[in-house]
Amino acid sequence: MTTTSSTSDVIKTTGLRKSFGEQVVLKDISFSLREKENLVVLGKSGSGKSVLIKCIVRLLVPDSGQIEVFGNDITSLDSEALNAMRKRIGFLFQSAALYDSMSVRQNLEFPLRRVKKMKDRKLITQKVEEVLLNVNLEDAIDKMPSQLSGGMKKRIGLARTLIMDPEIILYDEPTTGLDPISSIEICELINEIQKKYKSASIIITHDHNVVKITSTRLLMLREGVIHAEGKYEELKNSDDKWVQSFLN
Amino acid sequence: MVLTTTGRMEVHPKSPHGATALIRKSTVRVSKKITAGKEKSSSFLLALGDGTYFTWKILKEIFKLRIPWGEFIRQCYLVGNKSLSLVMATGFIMGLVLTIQSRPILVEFGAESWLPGMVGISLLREMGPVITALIFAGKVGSGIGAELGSMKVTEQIDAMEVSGARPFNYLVVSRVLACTLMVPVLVIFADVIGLLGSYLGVNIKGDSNLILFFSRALDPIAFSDLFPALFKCFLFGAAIGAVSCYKGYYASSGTESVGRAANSAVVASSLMIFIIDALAVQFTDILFNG
Repeated sequence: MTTTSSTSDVIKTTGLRKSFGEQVVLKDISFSLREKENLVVLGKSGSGKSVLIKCIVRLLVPDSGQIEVFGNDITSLDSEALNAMRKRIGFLFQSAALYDSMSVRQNLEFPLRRVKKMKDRKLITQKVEEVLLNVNLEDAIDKMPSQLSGGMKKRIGLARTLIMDPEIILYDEPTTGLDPISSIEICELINEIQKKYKSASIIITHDHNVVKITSTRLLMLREGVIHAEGKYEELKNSDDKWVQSFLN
Repeated sequence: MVLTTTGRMEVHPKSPHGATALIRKSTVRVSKKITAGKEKSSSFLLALGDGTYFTWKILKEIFKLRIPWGEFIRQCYLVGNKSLSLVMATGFIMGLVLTIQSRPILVEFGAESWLPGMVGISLLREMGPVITALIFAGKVGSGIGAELGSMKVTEQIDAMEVSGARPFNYLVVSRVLACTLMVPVLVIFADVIGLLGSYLGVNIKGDSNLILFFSRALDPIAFSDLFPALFKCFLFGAAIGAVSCYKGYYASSGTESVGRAANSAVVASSLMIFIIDALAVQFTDILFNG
């Protein structure tokens, strides 16, 4: 266990490298996520954005480099410590990844019963209703995932993430496949959640709305390396043509 | 080079250039085959290693008594209930057909009275366990392979993993244990229903009462028949559960892989059933018959 990172850094990666066979997806990625900030990671499809956040929760194991989460090197944790760490991190998948054999209620109850080992039925119901209220979907409680629209699925996925009271939330393309109105609603929801839960977030996207509405700071990935980093306003006025083409 | 009847220019094997080209071609072909063979054998060994590690992980969870009881009971109900009607129908037909087909030859030798005992031994020792396990592999094994494969492809397993819900324990251990327990139970059902089918078969051309039939069917059956048969049922169940979970849990991405996982779960489970059966017969023979 190491505690080398700055106290305000909740995630810090150093020299992160990940390849699949011959294809090197991430080359020497170093960045940090500070407390209570929304870090938006922008880049073309296939630039390694999703791979980056999957490495952070060790769904993928990096080839080399260090990932510190709350000061602990996640690559060297044993399975118990890793599980304990994962309980502090929420992950919203691109497809929302709702358990399709369970209703919305069961989807939300599952992490409470299985991970938090909560037994009190009243307390569980109260918690489920509270998170559903936070994502404005109280009426969907008894629906099955197949009965929900794409935007609703994302909201329920987010509710399932929030029910664990995470300190860090990782969003993998939260607005992909949504219409512009739903997309803006999700962005506003991300901001509301950040204020309410005081969580730090990494948001993977190539949606301009997400960048404009949610970002505290931007990280632009190009061909596996960090091409640009800074605030939206700073990068928008950058002379770099590639950055310009993305942000304007 | 020569012009062939099809009008294509080909290397003449007897020309010096042709011979060299042919040797080179053959060498390339042989080396390609060797490489392919090497790849096949290394992927087989990798799969074997993965499978062994997967089984070790299951056993570790079970011995540490990390059993998701709620999900295990739910799976017992699902896999048992799902297969019960099919297993009973098959068992009944199996007993009936075996009796009808065996009867003429036994009549010919004047051994018609041996019919219930013969059917009883066949059903209890071999046909009941193997046929039930094969049906279970087809019905439940494919379902587990497809379900877990689909969960893998749609990132549901990853979602459980990142929330710290230990999906291996929740999804795999519960299903393997449920299969291990439910196959013997289903085999017992299939055996009893099979004997009832046989009783019907006997009564098509003869006249026997139920109590007499059952006492004649069960009379020649000893402990050495029952114990190995029941023991191998547990092994069949464990193998079907483990193989099906393995195929689904490690399905690659893409919807095509869900079908492939379901299909290979059935094929690999069926193969395992026959291998276990062959080994069980050998061990039983050594243990009980010297």
